[in-house]
Amino acid sequence: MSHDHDYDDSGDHGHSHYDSPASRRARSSFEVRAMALEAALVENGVLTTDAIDAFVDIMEHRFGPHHGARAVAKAWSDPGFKQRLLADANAALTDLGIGGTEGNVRVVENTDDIHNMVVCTLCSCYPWPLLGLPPTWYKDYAYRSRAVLEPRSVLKEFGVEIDPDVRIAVWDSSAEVRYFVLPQRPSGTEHMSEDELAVLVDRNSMIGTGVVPAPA
Amino acid sequence: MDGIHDMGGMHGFGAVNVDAVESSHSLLGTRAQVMAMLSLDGVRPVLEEQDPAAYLQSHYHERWLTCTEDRLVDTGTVSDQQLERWREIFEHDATAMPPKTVAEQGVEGLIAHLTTTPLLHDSVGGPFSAGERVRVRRMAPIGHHRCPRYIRGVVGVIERELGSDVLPGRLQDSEREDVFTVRFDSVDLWGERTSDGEPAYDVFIDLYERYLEPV
Repeated sequence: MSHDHDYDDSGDHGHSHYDSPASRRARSSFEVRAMALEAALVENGVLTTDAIDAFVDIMEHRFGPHHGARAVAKAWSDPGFKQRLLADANAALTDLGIGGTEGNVRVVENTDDIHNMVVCTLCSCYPWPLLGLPPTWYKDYAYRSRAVLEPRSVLKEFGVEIDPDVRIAVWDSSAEVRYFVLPQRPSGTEHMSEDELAVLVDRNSMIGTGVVPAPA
Repeated sequence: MDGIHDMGGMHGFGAVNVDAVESSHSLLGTRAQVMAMLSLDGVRPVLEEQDPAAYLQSHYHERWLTCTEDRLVDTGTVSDQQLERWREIFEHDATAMPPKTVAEQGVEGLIAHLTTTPLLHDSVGGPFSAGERVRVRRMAPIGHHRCPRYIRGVVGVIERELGSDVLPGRLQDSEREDVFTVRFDSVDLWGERTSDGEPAYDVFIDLYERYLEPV
């Protein structure tokens, strides 16, 4: 099981979304095509560069799983917040300053009896503001096809074994609600602060393809 | 349309590559995705119309880029010749970059829009209530829809009334309809499983009223 906190698969953390001259390499055909499309759209006045930059910046930097982890840690620490998060996630998350496009959220709670996991079989819908851009496997055909057909086999591929007595609930995000899993709080964390707890919560545990391990 | 994108329950795609990372061209992948979102009237209908073989063979961001190019050329927003001219430039001149422009009215409005959570609306009086059994209609829908094949004809239970939303692929607010979260038992979806003995589980999926009929 992966417990790392490498939240971002996109690889680009620089200020520019293009190569810097120092790292110049041959442009792939994809890059050439994407740049040509941008040039044509900007040339025709359909889009402006600053609008594209602003949107990319929000997608890659403002949205991210650190928000989801903060919400989980608060729900573990504050029963009133947890209640609001489960009853009306949008209001509770707005209070934390978390929101945005693809952000109409319902939070589903893992318990001793239920393990939730999230998929989008038609597309790759995902709660962007809480989790950032989805990992590659979430968008791939194996996960999209099999999560609703053999969820336990899929979970095993993530190194997650769920007790046979625990019922699996798969949430297929087909319309405009985005699902977010509130994982179970591990034992041995009773004295940890919200900030300390948030560090334990990794992305997969909030999709349901992981569980939060007890701290070493 | 019932296209290749509707993958729930399909066999043959193998194990999940849990460590997969985007290939190198993801450097511009998000940017391509953003250009699609900002310039198309809805991306998914366009993505789903892509040739099935091309869909399966292309990378995620490539699918977005291809369908955006196709749709923008079809609508006359950009031209093939123009794209070709720019490609020539970027292929042969490693220092060339797209022109840079700034929105006269600023981008604050756009940012505000992108950081505002789009909520569902109040119910418009859909006919089903929580706890009620419903069957997903058998159908072969034309155009963009949100009713995967694997649940058609299957009986489930309304778990939650979500309120109303604009129909998929439509933009007018007047065409809103109620949406329901429906729970399906895996045995009703797939029969008694024998392949690997997974115990029964639940699948929850949000469905517009028009996809459902009373049992």
